[in-house]
This record gives sequence, structure tokens and C-alpha cells, in this order.
Amino acid sequence: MARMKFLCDAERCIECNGCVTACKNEHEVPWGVNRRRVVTLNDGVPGEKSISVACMHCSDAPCMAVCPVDCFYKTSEGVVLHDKDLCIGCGYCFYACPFGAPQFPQDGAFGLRGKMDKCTFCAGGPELDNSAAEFKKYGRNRLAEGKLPACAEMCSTKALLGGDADVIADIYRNRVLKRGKGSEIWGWGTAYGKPEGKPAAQPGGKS
Amino acid sequence: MNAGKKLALAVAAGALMVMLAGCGDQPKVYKQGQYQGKPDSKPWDNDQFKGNQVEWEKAIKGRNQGQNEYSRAVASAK
Repeated sequence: MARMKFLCDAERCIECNGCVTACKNEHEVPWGVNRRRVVTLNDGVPGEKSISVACMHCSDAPCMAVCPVDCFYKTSEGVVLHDKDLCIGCGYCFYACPFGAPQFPQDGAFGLRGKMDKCTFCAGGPELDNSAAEFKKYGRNRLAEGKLPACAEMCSTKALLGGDADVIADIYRNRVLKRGKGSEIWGWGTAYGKPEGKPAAQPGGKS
Repeated sequence: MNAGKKLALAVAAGALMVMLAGCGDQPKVYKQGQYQGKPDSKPWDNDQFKGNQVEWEKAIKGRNQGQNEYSRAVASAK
């Protein structure tokens, strides 16, 4: 088994926020914490691009490197997880992460900086698999149920792919080859392929 | 000092030792750059997969391909 990764196809993402909703619902993530979010570039301009972002489970994770209490670990499947019992909520991981993945609960008497919370690739944490303690601290452990992250599996346009890096890279590569396009073309035809017998779209035009 | 007083003194000394032992803190050996938290189990070490890694990987592979609409469309057309 290769490493688990996410891959978001910006040509297909329609900014529906279904992945965000699926994540929040699956793990009962508290108010103010978003393990996943959708970022849109050139919002409102024709050709805008959206991408779903969460922890990318980096191969050389900067959060792991900067954590002063070394509460991060990487599973044999390449998922970056952390022990909330050890986390001191210092926020170093938040500053180090290029994706803004680490989140901190913002309610309570002093407002800020509880234990860090982030995407777990639906793999729970260092508690007994699928136990109440694991769910309370880290959310549901879908990987232990033989399932992939809820966000990717729920994605209606299959823009967000999650799973074995080699497999999802192949899926994406196959998709791009079938599109047969340059980055100058955009639209539904580009994202989903063209019907048989239809001419290819002109560069710069809507496909 | 009579025997009763000696015994009381010994019991008090023993109790003091026990109480002081509770104040001690076990030294933790911190290893720089190494995970310090609790160990985590493998995703196949549970009631569902019963430690069968092959079965778990098969389930994940199936789910992986479930995201490939090209292969799904071909499979459903057959």
C-alpha cells in the first residue's frame, strides 16, 4: 500500500462545499473549526477555479518538524496524525503549515488556542479504533472500517480524490488524457470530456 | 522508650515514606524529534478485519476504484 493522499481537480470543483459539509457532519467538528475548506481563485470571474483544501498529509510534514512536544506521528499508510493528550495548543504547527490545516477551537473563556484539530484522513487517532474516546477527540475512523475519507467519497463531481496516491494519480492522469486539453480551455466539456463526434473546443473558448 | 512508642514511631516513619513517595515524579526521557504520544494501532487491527491486512487493502482498493468514473461506467455497461 502506497501513501494516502488527497488530489483536487480544479477543473471539476464547483465550489459546492459538499466536502466541507461531509467532513463536519462525519466527525461532528465543533463550531469555528474547519478541517476542510474550499478556496476559490478569481471568484466571480469567468474561468474561476476552486480547490478543496485540508491537511495534505505531507511526506515531510513541517508541522511534525516544528512541534515542541512532538505530538505528531505518521502512520504506515502515510497519514499525519497527532496525540491531543500531548498537544499544548502553542500554534507552531499552524504557522508552519503552508495549507492552514491546523485548526484551533475558538470558544471558551479565553477565546483562543485549545488543542489543535486537523484533518485525520478519517483515520482517527491514538485511541482504540472506533471507540467513544477516539470519536470525541479525533472523529470517526473510516479507514479502520475499510473506507476512504468522507469528503472524497461524497464529492459529487469527483473533483476531490482521496486514497492510495498511486491509484488516484492514475485516475487523474487518465482523466486528463481523456480531456485532451491545454490549460487555456475551461468549462464542463473540459472537465467531463467531450461527446463522441463533437469537435474539440478552440483555445480560449468555452468547451 | 517502650515497645509501643517504638512501634508507633516505626509506623509513622513508614507512613511518611509512603506519603513522600507520592510526591515524586518519574523522570521522562524525552527523545528529540521522536513521537512522544500514545501508540496507535493499525487500521486492520480491529473486530472488522481481525488483523487481516490483505482484506483491509482489498477493501481500500475497491473504494479507490469507486472514485474512477471511467472504470465504473464501463463496469456498469457490461
